[in-house]
Amino acid sequence: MKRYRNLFFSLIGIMLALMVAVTALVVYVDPFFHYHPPIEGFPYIVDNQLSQNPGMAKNMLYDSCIIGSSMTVNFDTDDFNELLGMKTAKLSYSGAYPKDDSNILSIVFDKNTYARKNMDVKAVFIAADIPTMSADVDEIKYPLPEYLYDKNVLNDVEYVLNKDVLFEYILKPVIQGKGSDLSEIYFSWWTPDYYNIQWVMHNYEQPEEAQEKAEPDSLIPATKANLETNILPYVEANPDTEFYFFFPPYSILYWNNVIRENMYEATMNQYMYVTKRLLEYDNVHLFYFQDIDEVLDLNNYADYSHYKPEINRFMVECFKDGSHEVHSEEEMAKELSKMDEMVTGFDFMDLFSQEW
Amino acid sequence: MLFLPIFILGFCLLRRALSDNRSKELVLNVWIIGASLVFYGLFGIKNLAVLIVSILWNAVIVRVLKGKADKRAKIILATGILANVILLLAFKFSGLVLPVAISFYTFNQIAFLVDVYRGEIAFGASEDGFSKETAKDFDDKFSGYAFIKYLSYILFFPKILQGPLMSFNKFAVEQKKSFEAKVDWEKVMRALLLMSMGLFKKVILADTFGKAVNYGFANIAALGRMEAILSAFFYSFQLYFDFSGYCDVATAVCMLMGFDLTINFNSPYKSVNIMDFWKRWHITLTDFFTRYIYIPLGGSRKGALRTYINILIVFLISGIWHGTGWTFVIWGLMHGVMSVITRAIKKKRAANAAHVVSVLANFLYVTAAWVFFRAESAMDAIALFGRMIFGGNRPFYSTFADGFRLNEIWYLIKVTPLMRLSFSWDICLWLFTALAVIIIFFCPNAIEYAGKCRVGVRTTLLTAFLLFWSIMSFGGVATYLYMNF
Repeated sequence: MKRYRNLFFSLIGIMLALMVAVTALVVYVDPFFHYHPPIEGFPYIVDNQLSQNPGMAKNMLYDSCIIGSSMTVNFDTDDFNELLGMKTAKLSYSGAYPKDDSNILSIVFDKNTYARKNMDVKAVFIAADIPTMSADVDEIKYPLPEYLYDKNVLNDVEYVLNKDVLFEYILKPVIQGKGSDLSEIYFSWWTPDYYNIQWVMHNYEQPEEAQEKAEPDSLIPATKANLETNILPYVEANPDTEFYFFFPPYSILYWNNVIRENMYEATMNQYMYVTKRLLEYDNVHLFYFQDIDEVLDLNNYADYSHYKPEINRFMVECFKDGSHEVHSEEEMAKELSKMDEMVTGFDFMDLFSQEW
Repeated sequence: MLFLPIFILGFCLLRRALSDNRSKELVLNVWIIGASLVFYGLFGIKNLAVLIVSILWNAVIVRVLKGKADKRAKIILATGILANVILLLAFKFSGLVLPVAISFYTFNQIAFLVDVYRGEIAFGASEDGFSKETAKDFDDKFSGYAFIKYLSYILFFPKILQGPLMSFNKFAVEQKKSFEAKVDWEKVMRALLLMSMGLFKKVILADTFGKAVNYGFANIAALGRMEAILSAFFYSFQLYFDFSGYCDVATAVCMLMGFDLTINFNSPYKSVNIMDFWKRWHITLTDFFTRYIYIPLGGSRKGALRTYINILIVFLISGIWHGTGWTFVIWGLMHGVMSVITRAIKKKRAANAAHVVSVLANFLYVTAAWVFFRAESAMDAIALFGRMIFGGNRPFYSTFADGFRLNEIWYLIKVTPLMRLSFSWDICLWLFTALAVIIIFFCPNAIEYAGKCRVGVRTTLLTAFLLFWSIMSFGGVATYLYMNF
């Protein structure tokens, strides 16, 4: 019996030793930056928005950040440094809903983090995706790995004893010897081949035509709730931070979707409402990019909404020199009027009559 | 991960600390009930609420039912069973999310009601593990200890999710044994070995096969011939390792307590025919159907035709119990029809086919039936069979084989000459397939192995290796398949 007892305690000893060793390694390297800033010289691979954004928001040094959906993934943070002199962290979530933005903003503005103890947030650059503004205020795109978002130490076991973390984010970068370039993390559709009209049109599917026209104000209540719950509280609570909101330049096909869904007027009203609410704050800069000429040329897109990185660079230039900034509701009305002219003047029939 | 060690440690400490039988019985039952509620509560408060309502309803029925032997008793029993069935069917057919393990605890409670009605619940008999006080509580008003024991029986967490469906009397005997047991280090080591094998089956094998299965059944129209054939086999493997893994872990937990859990899974793919299969796969469910449906219908006592009809009815119900939709009806009937044929042939002609051929033929038939079990629709299942014939020869689509390339294996293969093989990118898929075939057809079942092997340094290292590998892989673990029934 004593022999079996010894075997039992040996087993426990082996298990504990293995678990402590792996935990120590994960905590030391900390590939998700959950516990501390990156260690000098380790080639970190950053490719997981859900798992790595909260850690980066907590433990990286930055004075500005990019928040929003896949409309923000092709920003090069070096452009922000070069043009605006800012050290910018990219904290995008592909397909983000306002609640996703809120989740990461709550970490960005948490005063108890290493990041905030060492640097203030001078600016936040947020993609204002109108289609997601009418979502439920609690809707998120993907379930979060809660153990990386909460302050419960016990559930961190899912992080420190996780073979994917060990192999994909510690062993693999060590073997490869090369980490991610933080200025280009999360880049998508990165080769020029993706940006051409044949590819876009071949993959584009028109939505079903809605028979009933949406009420002009039908999108306002949900938009109001999202702004007041997920966005504006951060603007109000941080008057010293400049918030750069921008309406991303979706292609003209986006408007075809809006028309077919019979939401044109409701969507226009939604833009006006968001503009009105955002411009109530002195620390908000609002940019409308949807009526730039590039939206008419589908060679600038990988699909109906995702534009090529040159347009991201162009937007950063605008943040610097103020081009396309909207200062009042009247200016926004003019922009939407221009947009309306572009939409009504565009020959959709011709586009869809061709074989792609 | 902490739940189990805390539960077992608490159980052993309480058992050791309490000497008075009455308080030991009470405290340990309360410990089991509390832990089981916490465990079940992890699946959500709504699930827990349905479970509690179901338990209270059945407790009321038992209270009204006990001691009555007239016509009124029959009506009360029928009311009790009907409410259980309605609850189950309401969730199954309303489109609502099915509460976790509702089929299992509902069946358990139906069995309990019937046994109370039949007077087979032996609270009073000392060999069934009850103190006189407990028996008196039951006889008087089904309260106090009796009610606590009932709660313990229904909620007992190692079996609530996927069975086994144990009778109350058997459970009580085993529970009493576990209350009186002392820590047996040899048994502890055997239990941990069994647990490590169960976790390995579930986390490493079942979930890995599951990835290819998910791809295969979601993209039937795009499958090549080999992908279609393997999708069917892999689902067969996935179900096997999923359920077998669960049974091993549940048995191991009970072994740690000194409780012998009823065997529910016994190398079923080694069966020589479909009737043999149901004596090895989900054994206690087969017992339940036999005891509470087949025999009351007349069993085999009313001639061959009635026997066959009764068999078909049982398998039809089994199909509906497993899920809603025609696919489950077809699956149940496939098993029913083959059972009838097997029974008919067996009567006329002694089984003389070669053992290997019988096993193989039965496995192929069971696997074909599983295709209907897994497919979204009967048309999908037929389409999968179609792809097996008309899918053409072509390399595996990357997503199909990707799931098998576990980093811990793939990194090793990359630095070996195996990478020079023409099929090197699919090598992990074939390794898993070979391992599955060896375990399923050529190894003794894990419970048997863990019970008989020589416990020493080698088994200790194997236990540590499998446990550590499984724990490190928990991150991507899916839920147990049988839990959804």
